[in-house]
Amino acid sequence: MNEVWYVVGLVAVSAAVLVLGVWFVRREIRDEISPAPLLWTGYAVVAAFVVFGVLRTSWVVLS
Amino acid sequence: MRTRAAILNESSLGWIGLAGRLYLGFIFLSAGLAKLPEPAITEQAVRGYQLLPWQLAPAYAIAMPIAEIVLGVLLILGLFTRTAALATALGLCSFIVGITAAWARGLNIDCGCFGGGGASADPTYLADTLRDLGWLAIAVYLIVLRRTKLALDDLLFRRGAPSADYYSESSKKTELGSST
Repeated sequence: MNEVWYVVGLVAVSAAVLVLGVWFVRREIRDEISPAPLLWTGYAVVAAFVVFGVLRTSWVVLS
Repeated sequence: MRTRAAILNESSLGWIGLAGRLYLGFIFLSAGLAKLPEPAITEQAVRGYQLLPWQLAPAYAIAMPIAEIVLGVLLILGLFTRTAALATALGLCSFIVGITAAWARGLNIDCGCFGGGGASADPTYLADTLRDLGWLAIAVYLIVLRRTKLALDDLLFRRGAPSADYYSESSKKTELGSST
């Protein structure tokens, strides 16, 4: 049960981080800090890292 | 239009950013230097978490200290500061996930953050997690801040001269007065 709640929390926090990431990238594009394609590519790389980390950790914790 | 107070405020935020950069940089540098000469012990610490595939542990045990040293140096120098802070934040997130996952599964291990690691009779998960969350807050601050003081970024990738918005009304008047 402890493990299940841990995974639920991990997924919730990670989803919040990904949403915050979208806000951050849009703010950077609006302020013309870096080109939009570069920022979205960077976001995709980070999001892939986060999703992979969440999936791997959840699988290990629940198995 | 920016007021003088806003410029002063921006300046002090930059100095706080410098302090955070140096602190986090030295933390990562010392963590990397502590682990680099002992890859076998670091490998044991990595395996203790039981998160990574067994075969990946040796490569991770060598790559992690090197990455920590590189990130530490970049933060101290203020070179690619925001990218380094982002990588540092991701690394800290992975450490927090590793520690809390071990905690949730009831493992008894030392975090091995500054060398050592593996089985431990007295794990300090709460303290380790809170400490890493504090460092994560500093890394996020460096990402959001954009510019810090005494950074090589400013020297190498200096943007154009400050726009008119950078000056307050009083300083504009002073400059106009001096030119006539």
